[in-house]
Amino acid sequence: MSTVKLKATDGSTVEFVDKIIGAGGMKDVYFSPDRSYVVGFFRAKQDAAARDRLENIVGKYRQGIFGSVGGEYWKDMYCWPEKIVEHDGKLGVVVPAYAKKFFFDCGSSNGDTLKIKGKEKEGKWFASPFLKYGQLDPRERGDWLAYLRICIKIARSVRRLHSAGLAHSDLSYKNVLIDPRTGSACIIDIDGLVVPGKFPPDVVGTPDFIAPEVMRTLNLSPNDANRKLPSRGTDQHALAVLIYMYLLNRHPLRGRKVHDCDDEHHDEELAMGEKALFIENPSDTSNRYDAAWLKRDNPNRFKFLMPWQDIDALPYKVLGPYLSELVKRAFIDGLHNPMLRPSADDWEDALVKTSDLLQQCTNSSCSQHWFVFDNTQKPTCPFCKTPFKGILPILNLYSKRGNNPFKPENYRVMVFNGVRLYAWHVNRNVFPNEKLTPEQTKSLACFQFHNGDWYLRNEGIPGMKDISDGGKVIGLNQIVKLTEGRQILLSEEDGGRLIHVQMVHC
Amino acid sequence: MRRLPVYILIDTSESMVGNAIESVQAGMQMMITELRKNPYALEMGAVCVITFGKGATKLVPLTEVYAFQMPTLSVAPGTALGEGLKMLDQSLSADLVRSTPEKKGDFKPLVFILTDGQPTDEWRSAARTLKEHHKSAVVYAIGCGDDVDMSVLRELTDSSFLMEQMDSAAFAKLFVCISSSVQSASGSIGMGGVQER
Repeated sequence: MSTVKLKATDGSTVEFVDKIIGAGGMKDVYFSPDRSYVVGFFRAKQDAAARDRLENIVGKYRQGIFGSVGGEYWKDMYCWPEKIVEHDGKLGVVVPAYAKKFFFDCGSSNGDTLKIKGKEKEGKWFASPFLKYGQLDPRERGDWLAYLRICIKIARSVRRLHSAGLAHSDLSYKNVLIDPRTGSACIIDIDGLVVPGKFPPDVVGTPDFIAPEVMRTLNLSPNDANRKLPSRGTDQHALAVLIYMYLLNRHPLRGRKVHDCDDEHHDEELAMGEKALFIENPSDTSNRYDAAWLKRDNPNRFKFLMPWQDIDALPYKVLGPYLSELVKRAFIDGLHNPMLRPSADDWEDALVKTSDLLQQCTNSSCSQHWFVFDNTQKPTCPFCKTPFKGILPILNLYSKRGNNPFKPENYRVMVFNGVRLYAWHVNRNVFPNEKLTPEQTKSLACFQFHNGDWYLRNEGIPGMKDISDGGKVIGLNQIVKLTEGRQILLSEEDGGRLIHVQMVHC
Repeated sequence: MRRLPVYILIDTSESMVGNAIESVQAGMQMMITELRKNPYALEMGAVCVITFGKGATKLVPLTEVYAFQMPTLSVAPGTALGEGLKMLDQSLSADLVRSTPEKKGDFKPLVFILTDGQPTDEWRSAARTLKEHHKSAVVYAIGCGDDVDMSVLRELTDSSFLMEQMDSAAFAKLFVCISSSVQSASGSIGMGGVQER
């Protein structure tokens, strides 16, 4: 096979092996000889506006995200086009090859009978319980914490795009690679970025993720003022669908309701567009299904669908208070009203806070290992139904704003072996994201279980005090016992936090 | 669960003996392999294989892609296209789930007819009945063999193709095309045919 050598528009040399390795909706893709990057050529001729957009993507926008403080952080999160090339009259982009972890290692179950080893981990494999639990090798599946991490990364990447004034326009499990083994996610197909008022979208999106307003106006002329096209608002819908699907393994709008008995394509269009209705909508339950319906509809696959698609057993409330609120806003209040949809920033914040509410399942054979504390005296794993037994310390965080007294902020941290406190627990003005300094990622306190009691060990908080013991200083490497009602001061600075300990005996 | 049904009608008459039938066999194997690697096809696809020679045989009833087992093709005298179309008609009628207010029906079925177009029975009335009964079916006719009568294929459907070379590489390519059409059908649900602006 011959290798083609080219000069990119930035003057650098680009090489590719003249054999198509993949064909997407718009491009044919080739490997570089060392496989460290790929070159994708647009099959159709690209006009001046498209070229201008690509130049901005590989230039200004890329520089804006990767060139600023913390830019290195995004290298793993996006597969961002780096150069533009031209060959045989076709325009192409040079994009880094996907990291190795985004290709199947074990593949499908029973020794990879589907022969998918080495194939890309397209998100679809992990968003359907039939595919995930019925087809994939157990080692590829990951547990619930892995998907929470994946969702944090996706929300964070989308938040960064949006804060730069960009919209992805085609977020879907096709365009986000994920790796449940390491809890990683990477956004791909960035060459279709939308800039409001400057670069309009090329595609309407991918089925399952197209926002209702786009689907509803699909048949209007692109010049019609009522035609809705992909934007930041539709990204917000797609992001909500991705998160709901990865955490609950079902589609939020795909229920039992049939809108058109004669034309199934029109039925799909209505179900995802004009008539879109959340399967868990509390006031209109016409799209809701139950386990009996599910079994009738999928007799051969039912065992793989449980408990995920049993809405009664696993309602969205199992996602905990922060995420439940956003699910409600995304699929009830904001489904047909884009202005009310949660932003990517809202999702990132809620997902991160939810990770502090995780509890370990005591059933060692539970496939999910983790679940969100349900704020009751009898917490039970919603996935395997095992009740938690033992003492459960919960830290209720209060924070200080200016010179005002400490106030509760609806933020809790569950304590179990391995939990640590970090800078973002000590002060509410620190947020765990790409902007953290290496200093801020150090553990500042840990928890130990000894002779039936839980202790907090100070590993690096200078002003820690036991308020319940007359403000006694808890120095470095000193411990304090966690007891009901104990108050521990972490920081008195602006944004500083105070812990109010709650002990739940289950 | 809304399925995407795919029917493959294969001419196993004596004129297909040797290379031709071997290639169809190898190509079909490749198609199934490709379908099983695709999560959309794996989730929604179901495949039925009907052959026709002396009469028609349902080699594999409509089976979900993940459970599909490759059948072995063997040739027989005669080219009972009419019988094959009749069996296809009956299978479509029996298999396809129609939407009701209570249940979502299947997507439009895809039909692939592989033949050299030299039927030996009365097939026109069967073709007419098939069209009348199953207007929504998307039919592709693929001419195979050294001496294809394309006029027959064109009567069957507006989408007819000719496989000029009878080697297995050509067939593999054909079946990969078929499988990618299945994939794009499952990937473009509800797009109303408007993939791009």
